[in-house]
Amino acid sequence: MKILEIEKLNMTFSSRGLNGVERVHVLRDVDLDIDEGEILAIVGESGCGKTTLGRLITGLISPTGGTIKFLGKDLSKTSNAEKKLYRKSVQFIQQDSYAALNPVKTIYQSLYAPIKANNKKLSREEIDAMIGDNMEMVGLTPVELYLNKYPHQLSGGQRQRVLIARVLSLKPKIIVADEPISMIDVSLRLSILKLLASLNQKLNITIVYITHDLSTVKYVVGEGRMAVMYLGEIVEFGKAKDVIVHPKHPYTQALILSVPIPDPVIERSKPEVRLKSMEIPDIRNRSDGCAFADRCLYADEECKTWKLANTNSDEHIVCCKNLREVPSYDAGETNE
Amino acid sequence: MKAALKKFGKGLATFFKGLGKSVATFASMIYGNKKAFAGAIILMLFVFLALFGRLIFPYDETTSFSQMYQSPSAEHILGTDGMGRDLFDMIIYGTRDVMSIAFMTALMTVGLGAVVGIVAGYAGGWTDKVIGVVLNVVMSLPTFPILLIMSMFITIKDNFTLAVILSIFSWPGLARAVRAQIISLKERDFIQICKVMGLSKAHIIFSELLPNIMSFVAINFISSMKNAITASVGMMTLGLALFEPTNWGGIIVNARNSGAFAIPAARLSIIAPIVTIMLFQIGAILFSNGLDEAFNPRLRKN
Amino acid sequence: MNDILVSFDNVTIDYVMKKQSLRAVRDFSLDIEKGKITAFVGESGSGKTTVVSALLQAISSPGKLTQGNVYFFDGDNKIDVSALKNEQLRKFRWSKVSMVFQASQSTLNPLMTIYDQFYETAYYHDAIASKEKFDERLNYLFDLVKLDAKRVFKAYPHQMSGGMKQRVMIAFALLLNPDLIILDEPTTALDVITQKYIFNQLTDINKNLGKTLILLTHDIGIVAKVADNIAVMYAGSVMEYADAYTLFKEKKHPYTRGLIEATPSILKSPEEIQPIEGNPPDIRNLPSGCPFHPRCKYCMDICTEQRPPLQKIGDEHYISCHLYANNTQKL
Repeated sequence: MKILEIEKLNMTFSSRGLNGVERVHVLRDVDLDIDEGEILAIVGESGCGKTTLGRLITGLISPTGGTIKFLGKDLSKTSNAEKKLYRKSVQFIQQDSYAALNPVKTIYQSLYAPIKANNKKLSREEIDAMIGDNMEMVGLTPVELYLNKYPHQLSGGQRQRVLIARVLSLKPKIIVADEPISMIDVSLRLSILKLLASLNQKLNITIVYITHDLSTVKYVVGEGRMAVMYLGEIVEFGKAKDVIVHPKHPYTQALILSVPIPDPVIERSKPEVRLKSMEIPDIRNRSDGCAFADRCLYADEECKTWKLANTNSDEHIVCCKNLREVPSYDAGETNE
Repeated sequence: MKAALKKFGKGLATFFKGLGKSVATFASMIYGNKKAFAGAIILMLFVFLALFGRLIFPYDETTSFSQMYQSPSAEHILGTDGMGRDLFDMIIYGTRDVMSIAFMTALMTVGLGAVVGIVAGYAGGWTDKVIGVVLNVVMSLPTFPILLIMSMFITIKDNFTLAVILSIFSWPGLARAVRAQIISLKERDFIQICKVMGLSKAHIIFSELLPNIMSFVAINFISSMKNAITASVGMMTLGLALFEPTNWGGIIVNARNSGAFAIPAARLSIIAPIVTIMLFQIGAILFSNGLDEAFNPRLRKN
Repeated sequence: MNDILVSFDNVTIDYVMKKQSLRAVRDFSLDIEKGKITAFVGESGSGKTTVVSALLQAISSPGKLTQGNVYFFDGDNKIDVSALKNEQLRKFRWSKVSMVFQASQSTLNPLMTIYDQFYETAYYHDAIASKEKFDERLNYLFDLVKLDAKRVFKAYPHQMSGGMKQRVMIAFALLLNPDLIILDEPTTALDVITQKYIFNQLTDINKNLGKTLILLTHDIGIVAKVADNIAVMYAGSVMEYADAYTLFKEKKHPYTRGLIEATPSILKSPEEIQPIEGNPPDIRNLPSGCPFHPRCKYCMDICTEQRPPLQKIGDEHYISCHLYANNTQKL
């Protein structure tokens, strides 16, 4: 059952600068279908549009082109009541847990407000019980220890758990997590990822995990899928395990090759990353066709005007015209 | 109509709850910071005098030219003024008027300024543009010439009107500042997520945004009070405001008008009220600077 | 056995404040090999930045070197860095040892072009013989870090990407041709392809120019490729020091083992990842004995009472752990 159907999604940001109105076409023709109860990762480097995609899914911003369908209904054509239901069903966990909490409110107050706003008839005791349950679910026990504290009195990991508890209280169907662990101490990161994965297993919540850290993807999505984005487009999409170990798109290969592996033997036997340029180009200079053409070793002139019709499929999609020329790469191989 | 009233009532309730919490955090911050604490003590002293000063140091209104410009003595701590009245008692007596003018002015300035600032900052769009025009117009009014002209036609007789006139010229500045604060707060993650979580606009304004600008508002309140005192002295000098002889500004104006500067013994009549005003200013500045430090970690000395 | 460039000799650094004194680095002794890349790996609070700052007399206040010395071997000359003052210190800094600070990309002056900033720094170090020579040197440096000199000379910081700015900072560090460059978290906030690119350049600078590098990081995974030697630090002391291959293969110290096993990798399955139990240490309240003992699976009684000394257990392999006392290998 498809919970979210994204078709030809486009997002252009306009800003008024010294040279008149500047338009940046941040997302281009993104197609993505998400099944209910799925865990999905969206990965890419900075500027690839993954955060924008996350904000579009959450409804924080509206797309400038394309459609988003929630449970089969086109969001731009729904009534206000249905829009409200969508809002409630899709929740967001931000990267900076300190910025995501009101600094002058206690944890209790920050957790109380959204529950009350969405369940006006609940009594204080009932809400307190819900808060207690959610805090336990995210591992913040004993609950009393945390409720009266202010955000700056908690550690980054604890705050992130509070964000998760807050989101859970709204009983969402989809949780979009944007770089949830990048600002947390390394030793605390894994437990947060495991928590996210468990929310999917226990409560069947669909999770969209946005990150630039490929090493963490497997711990959240397990058997789930992964979409690789570059300069506003999806370039490869398939089962995370497959895409990571056998990347097919030249960009994905460069990305996987660059991910550090904590083993000097493997690291020193990896082939070099070969690209025509090591800089991520300005998105405004993107070609009409393949966004990666100017850096790709296997690109030809036609690549600059070539586009894949639809990036949606249950299969492993690769947006590349010259796939036959791209050598295969197995990340699991090591040359001793 | 009923629903709107209910919403307003709820908003007000959330506002006061938020206010209460803010006041408590506020109090602990003041205690923690030396400057703010020292400033607060001075200000509290003035408030105390405003409320109870008249009972402790009774003021004898009787004038007596034989007693004029007496030097300080055991009987008259600061000597007497041009009409033989005890200067010290007069200053204490006048504290209540001065404080009430300052307080009312600050209340109106901050009240109007904050509300307009919040509305402009949060609503944005046309509302913001229209309010912006209003602010610009009021701010470009030439205060002094207008007051000068007014003084030719009217004389303000009561404290409340004085406060109103004083606040008319000062509220736009605060509105602008509050608007800027709200605009930047609006973009913060914790406000953005409110919409996603389905929190109402009223909740966002009263319960999330307002507590974050409380410290700013409080600091501006004190500044407003101190500016009001100075401005009111100016108004009295212009002749625009009628004053009690015990009003600190009144003491200065009376002394000036009767040429007290020339008489050495009389100079205290000018200096004493000025020093009193300065004391209040110092208290206010210490308090607001200290608060600013307390709220802004970057200013804290380590 | 290689030449030693730097020797930390029983270095102890305390943060001296009004009410208390906190020990950030305790009895730190280590020799840095010349011409090699040594990585100091540790989480926040491990003391890695503090101890290495002593090499430039740049310990951030209120930190003070309360015991021990830091020696720099300049040819036959043994310089006691901690004793340098004024003019000597000024000459030492940047021309013998330089540093790329954490997030230093944001220390670039936003109002000056890159060329002007380099010129200014060189000027204050009396390093400009003539404009032509200076330009030549700058072109050379930019070529080393693969920056397009023509473009970058005239650019302002906001016109460059994070990766480009970091390379500018590396060029800055190379300006006066120091023997040693310290890089503190050189690739945080950089994308992974850019990160690899920068490490490649650092490796080139090390191999082709013979510069000794010290890298500071909290991520043991990223130095697996680039580091020759790795020192693992915890709560102000060295837990283990070895060459990269040995360290990763043998993982003798429980903390080293914990760090490596807790690092996510695209090759490890979820079950193979084990986070380290417990919380990072609080230097205001360090545990007794070995600072790692509350989190150590192999904790013994002696670990709660006595700090294990740093001992040699192999060729250029040092460890601070009671499990290896008297060289008996218990793991």
